[in-house]
Amino acid sequence: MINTYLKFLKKNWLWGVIPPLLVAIMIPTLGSIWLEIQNELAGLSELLNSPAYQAILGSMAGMDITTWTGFYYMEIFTWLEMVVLFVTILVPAKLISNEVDKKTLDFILSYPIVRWQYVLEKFSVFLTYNLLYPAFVLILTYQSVVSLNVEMNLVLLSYSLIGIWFLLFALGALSLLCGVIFFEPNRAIAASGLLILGQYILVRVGGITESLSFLKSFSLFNYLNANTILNVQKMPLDELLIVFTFGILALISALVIFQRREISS
Amino acid sequence: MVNTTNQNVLQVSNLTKIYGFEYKFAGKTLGQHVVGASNVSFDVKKGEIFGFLGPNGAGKSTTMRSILDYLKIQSGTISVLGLDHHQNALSIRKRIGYLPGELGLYDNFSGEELLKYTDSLRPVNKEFLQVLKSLFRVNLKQKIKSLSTGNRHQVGLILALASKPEFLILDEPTSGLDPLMASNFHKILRNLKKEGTTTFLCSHDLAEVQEVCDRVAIIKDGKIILVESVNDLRNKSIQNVQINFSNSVALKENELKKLESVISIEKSNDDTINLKIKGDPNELLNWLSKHKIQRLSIEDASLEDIFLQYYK
Repeated sequence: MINTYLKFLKKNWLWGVIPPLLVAIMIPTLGSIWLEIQNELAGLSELLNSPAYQAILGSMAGMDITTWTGFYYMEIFTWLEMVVLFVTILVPAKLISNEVDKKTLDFILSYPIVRWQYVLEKFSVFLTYNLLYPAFVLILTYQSVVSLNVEMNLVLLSYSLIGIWFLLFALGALSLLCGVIFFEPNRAIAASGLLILGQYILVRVGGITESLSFLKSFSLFNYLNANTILNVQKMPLDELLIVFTFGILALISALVIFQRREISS
Repeated sequence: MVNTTNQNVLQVSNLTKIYGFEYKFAGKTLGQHVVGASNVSFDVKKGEIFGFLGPNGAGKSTTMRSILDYLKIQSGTISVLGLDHHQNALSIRKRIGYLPGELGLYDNFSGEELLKYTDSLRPVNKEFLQVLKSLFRVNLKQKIKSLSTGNRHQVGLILALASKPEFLILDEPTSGLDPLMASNFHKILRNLKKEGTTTFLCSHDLAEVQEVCDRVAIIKDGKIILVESVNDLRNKSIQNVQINFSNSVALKENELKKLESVISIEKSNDDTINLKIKGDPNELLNWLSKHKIQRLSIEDASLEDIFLQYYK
């Protein structure tokens, strides 16, 4: 029933583990420099209040980086946002389109496997490895907080990391949808890039001035924001619902399209 | 000896597949229709090895992919193992083995890993797998990406045959195989046939079709132009005749051209003529009796000659 999932989970462990590990390794690195640069960050903090930096860093620019929590959030969540961008644009779009390109789909679909289930199992491998981002980040953050002897609300951090996972899910499902529609890796990546990068740009442009802020509501990057979670001190369930609903709709569309479409050579 | 029953394992009736869209708007045609298959009908009986011939673009792949339910057909019906190919696609796939023409296998898997994975989808016949492993000389422990094209093909054949399916669909099964491996594969096919396995075999290798197939269909421009047993086809069709005359053939060539049964004449030297004849050979024999000849040879045309005859 879940043979495809287990097989690909095992075969892709290296690509699944290394990116979250690389992001998580940033945390002890940040911890090691924190005590040295702590006093120099006040000047930088003022600089980050300028509209130009606000546009580049988005909500992260509003963090008080003179505190460990602010510094940590700005660094880690800026990195995680980049990861969300690259991973969701590149990986799910290629899950199926690459198989068409390499002709493996022809071979595997001659076995008694339900098409939508095959896609779902492969996408679940992507989602499973994405769980390593919150897991590794939480473990290494806890270790850093203890060794630095600083205060940090790990529950709120967990909410923000769950938010990142939901973003990976929703944008990944959108990228998967592009893959099953275009069936050709380059086109699929171009389409997912356009849609996902487009949303990223919308939220950045929308953050520059109040008059453009309406643009942000068209972007998934506007929801489950780490800074928002830190400010409201809770998980915004309404935003979680929006992102989850979007992801589920994109995923169902991808599964239905793949189940019904022709597998042309 | 053809060991078949009347039960059809594959029944294709009036299959039509058109690719693309075509709209007529303000007197102009937008888009283009491409006919992949047009009213294709044939059947494959249980225990039969059925050859499917045609050059690239003739409709072979369209027919094969329609049988596998990869393509949506515009009209017609396809029944595989007595089941509707679309409604019962999963049940059918439990009982078939398929080797695609352009074989793609997961590069980072080894042959053993692929067998283990596919075993979980369609159980492998362990006893038969040992037979296959002994006949094919490919290292199944090696990753697919490190195998040569021929060895990948052998892995593909092992995977297609490993479950010892009731119905095999094979596209160019011996392409890339050395003659020994091809011969081993033909042996396997014949043995499977004795046990009742049915095979639908697409091939460009006409010698292979001639050697292993019971019946053959030829497809041209998306239409079936012939379905015939290989033996009947050879018996009814053209024969190659070589005549050595005692003297020059210059004048005789024109006389031969007038004979109805002669379809082509090729002068190989001053006293030798190669002919292709079709139908009753007595007309030619009567004509030959009036001439002095040194040597005469008549042989059945190869399937290749027959194939080319339909494709001229």
